[in-house]
Amino acid sequence: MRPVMTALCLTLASALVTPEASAQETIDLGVIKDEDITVVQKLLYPKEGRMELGLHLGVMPFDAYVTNAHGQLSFNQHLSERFSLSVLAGGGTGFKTSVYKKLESPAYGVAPYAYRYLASVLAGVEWAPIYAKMSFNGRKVVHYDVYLAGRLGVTFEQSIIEGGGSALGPTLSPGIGSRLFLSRSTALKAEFRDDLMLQRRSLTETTAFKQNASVTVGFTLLTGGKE
Amino acid sequence: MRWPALLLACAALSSCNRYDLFRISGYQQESFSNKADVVFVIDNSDSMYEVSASLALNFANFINTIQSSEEEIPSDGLPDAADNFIDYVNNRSSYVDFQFAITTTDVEVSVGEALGGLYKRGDPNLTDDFVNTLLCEATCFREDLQLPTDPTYVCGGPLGDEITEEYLDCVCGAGTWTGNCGAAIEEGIEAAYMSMCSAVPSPPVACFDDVLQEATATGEDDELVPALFTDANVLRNEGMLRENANTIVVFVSDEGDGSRRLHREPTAEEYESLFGQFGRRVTFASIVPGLDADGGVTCPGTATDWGVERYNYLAFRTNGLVEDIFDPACDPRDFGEALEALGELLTNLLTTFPLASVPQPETLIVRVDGSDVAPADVTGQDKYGYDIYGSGWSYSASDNAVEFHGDAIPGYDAEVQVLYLPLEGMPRELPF
Repeated sequence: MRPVMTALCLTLASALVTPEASAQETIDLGVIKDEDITVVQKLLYPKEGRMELGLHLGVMPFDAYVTNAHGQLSFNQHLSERFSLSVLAGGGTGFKTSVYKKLESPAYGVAPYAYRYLASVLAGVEWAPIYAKMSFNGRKVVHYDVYLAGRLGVTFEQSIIEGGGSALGPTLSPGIGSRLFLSRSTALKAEFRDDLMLQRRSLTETTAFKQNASVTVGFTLLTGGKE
Repeated sequence: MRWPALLLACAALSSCNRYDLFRISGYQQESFSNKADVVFVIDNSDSMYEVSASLALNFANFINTIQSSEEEIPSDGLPDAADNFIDYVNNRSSYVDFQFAITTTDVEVSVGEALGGLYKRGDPNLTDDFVNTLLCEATCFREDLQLPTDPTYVCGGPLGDEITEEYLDCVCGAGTWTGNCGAAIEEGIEAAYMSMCSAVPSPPVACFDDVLQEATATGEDDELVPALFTDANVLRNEGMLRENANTIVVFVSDEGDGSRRLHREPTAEEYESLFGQFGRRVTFASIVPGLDADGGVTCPGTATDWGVERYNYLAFRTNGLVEDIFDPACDPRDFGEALEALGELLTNLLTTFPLASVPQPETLIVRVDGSDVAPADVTGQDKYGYDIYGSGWSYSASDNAVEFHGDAIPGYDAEVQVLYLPLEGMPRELPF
């Protein structure tokens, strides 16, 4: 009996001092939160290292006296996914609005000394901090980016009043735009920009501040870079 | 510091473009309906009867010449219409829509009244009526004057080569044509002014003004002359000044002007400004004694240099006409040539285009038929001290008008446009 009792006592004692579970310890990896996501998975349309050439049509509809239509060529060299160098060269013409025509009618006999846009060359940078995917109608996922632009250049304009002279003005052009990628090598590009310029007006011998707010829509080709 | 800068940037971005507003004055050179209102101011002093007789004798030819062409033109069908247009282009004087009025330099009596009414193109008896009024009411035939006689003349017969007593008895009434003699002082310019005052419904205030005449000799006092023009004279010459017509005042006198508002000066700036108050284009023609290079009267007589020069001044200032009333022998001249020159004046093109606001001269743009016209260069000065210009345009501050010179004078039917920045901004608020 004595050995049996001894065995029971040992078993009881070991049961009292032994840790209760002996399964392997788990590692807490945490939960992926929104702020932890900084890149778009499957970025289908990379820009880094690529060149982008575009053809755009635009309108400057916000002037009371002149409505300008213009076209432009764009060139971008994408230094990274976010930054690119941008060059724009454009040309166009302006037309008197109905307000202008009414003013210059015999009833009022007034001609605003307004200027029409003829051409401009701008160069600067674009910063595209946003690259996003968007479900379109639940059927298709579209990729797009949103960028801010800052450019400098010159704008050439002509007086609406014949013989009123022309002006070549230094121009600062902030803008905001977006690329809607159609394929790996094509995109639709829409931009709103405001060309802020100083121009010397010969008839009045004054230096005036002028802004051409315009909306452009264009088609661009992306070439080169990593596939 | 960031917020003010940001607000400033936003304000700049959201503001509208600001443009200076230029005034546009648009005109059209006279076209097909070219109207000319001609006022003859006839000196009815006793020295003038030979001149008036010559004027009467030549006037019929003058009228016939400028009126006959249109009457002879057929107007049946397209070929005639085309021919008529060609004729119009080549011979515009045939299409002047003229009317005549006569008054006298004796302003104390006539107060610029249009004697016998108005004589209009197309009146069947235009020539006869004009000539009769000229001879019967505006010519001084002294009672002791011996005129040629023609016992064979029958009333109603045409005016012959000379004015006869029988003719005057017929058209004026027996003996009534003598003694219609005016005052010794001829006030041609005042008479023209009074005639215009009598032609508008709201005459300028100056029409009613008394006139302070300066003393002509030491020891005399200035004299306040009561106004000749009263409310009773308003519209006495109604219809004499038609809308959009050119007014041409023709002085016919063998004396100088002695108008009451001036004092022996050879120019007439005061009257220039008075005529300007009517807001019409007024051109003056002077058929008066000739002046030599030194400004002296060439033919002997009682005409004063300064009085004659005054008529010529107005003609000169309005691109008018100056004709000598005498021939080289100092006899009354053949009026045929003078009236022919007057006919050309009727078709003269506009050279002066008034502006609605006072411009900043350096901002003026002048355009004819869409093409810019260059400013004219000053090439010298005339005897009155006014600039002489080459071809182009100039701005006259005194008239607030753009004047064309030389080859730059716009042709018929030309569109003239003047743009400028008003000196004191826009004259009225714009509705938008």
